[in-house]
Amino acid sequence: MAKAVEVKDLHYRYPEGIEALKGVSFEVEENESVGIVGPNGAGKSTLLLHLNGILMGYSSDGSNPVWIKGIPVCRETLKQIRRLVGLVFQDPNDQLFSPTVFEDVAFGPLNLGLAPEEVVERVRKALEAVGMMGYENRSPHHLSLGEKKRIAIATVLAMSPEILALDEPTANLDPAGRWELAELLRSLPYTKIIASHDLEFVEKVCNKVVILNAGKVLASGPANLLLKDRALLVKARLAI
Amino acid sequence: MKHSFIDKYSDLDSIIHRLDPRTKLVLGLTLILTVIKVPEKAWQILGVTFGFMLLVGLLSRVPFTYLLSRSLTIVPFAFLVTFFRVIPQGKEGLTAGAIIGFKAWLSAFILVIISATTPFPLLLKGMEKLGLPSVLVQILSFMYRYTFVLIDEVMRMERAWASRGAGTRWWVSFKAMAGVAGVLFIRSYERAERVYQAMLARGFDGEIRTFNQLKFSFRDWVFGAISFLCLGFIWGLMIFWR
Repeated sequence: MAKAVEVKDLHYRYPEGIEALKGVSFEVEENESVGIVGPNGAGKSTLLLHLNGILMGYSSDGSNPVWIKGIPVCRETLKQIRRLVGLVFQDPNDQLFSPTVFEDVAFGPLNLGLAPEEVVERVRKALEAVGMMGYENRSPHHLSLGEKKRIAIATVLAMSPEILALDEPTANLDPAGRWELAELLRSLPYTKIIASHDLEFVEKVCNKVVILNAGKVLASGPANLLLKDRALLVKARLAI
Repeated sequence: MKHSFIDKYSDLDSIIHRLDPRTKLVLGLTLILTVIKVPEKAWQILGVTFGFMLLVGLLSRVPFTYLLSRSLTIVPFAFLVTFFRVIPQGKEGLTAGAIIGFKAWLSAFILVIISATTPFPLLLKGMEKLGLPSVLVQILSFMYRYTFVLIDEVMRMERAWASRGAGTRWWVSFKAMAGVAGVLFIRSYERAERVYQAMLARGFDGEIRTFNQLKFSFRDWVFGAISFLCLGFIWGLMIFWR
């Protein structure tokens, strides 16, 4: 059976000339939760943007570097890929751009061309999954950061993806907010890829980690092993 | 940071709040057109219209001070027009000027009542349903969503800047302000890029699809019918006065 995510020798250079990814490879099995950990500027966000084809990198031998459930990420498959991979951005103010919560959660399903009743049902289910029922008519600006993060996750759940990719989900959250978010993510039955440098959080949610440093994979393996390896963490600027 | 919204009080509940936004938009715009059309010598009609709007304002339960203070923002603009009307004509121009000023204020008052009784997102839906191009509706919608995000950003920059002791002399602060404007532009540009990525990530392909929940109710028909009868009466009066 095809792997949920397969990344082989992924390179990416930003138009400004900075080489953010220098040959990244890793695999994610179905229903696994994988933490992509690394210091600031390691290339975590850049990597996530490749999973649904917002950015498209290259590999040294010219083959397709990113595969989702056996489908190569390229221009022709974008629609399909974006249906499979739900990407949650770091700043909910970027993700929530509609005047009301309902419209924001409905945005994805509407783009999928679903019937109105189906859209309403999807929105209801997604808000229920993140515990935010009754927020439909609120304006995102009036919500707390923790609430915004939940809604941001709902906007992606409403598209019924198979893989959830989250960029720095705990950034700026208070301890209680982090704990609640960890509980929420554990309760969602998806293949998850979480980019973060919040090791405590990653340990709680993920069973596997990939340690990224300066655009390269430093190590990958079971979370409980790697996150205990002090020397490795120090080398990756994740501990002192 | 918290800000008051342009649609403050729109979450109250009243007859006016429950009207369909389309009813309010169409009636409001027709009423404004009427106000503009009223000839100077028939100024009494303005009084009648004012009375009608007072009644609507009262029914809406929005605090009157709020309606007044919001609608008075038109005054500086109206003043200019009035001023140039008064100057060349002297005393005679005074009444004409006053009527123009009052017309401007009354129009603003009507719009303020609409915006204070309708949540902005619903107003947008109404405009869209009434045929405003969806690109314009989208621009207004992004404006509504991001104005306050931007204001927050400016306030943070201002604090950072004040903390470093800038702004002691006006020309220094003026220069710093120019810098703030530049940074703000770049940040907005970058945010726009990220928002677009977030839209793409959820399957956006250039076509704007929205969800319509608006429904006309019996209330709209009744209110609309009564209002149009009144408007008809006013237009009748205007024709008669001429």
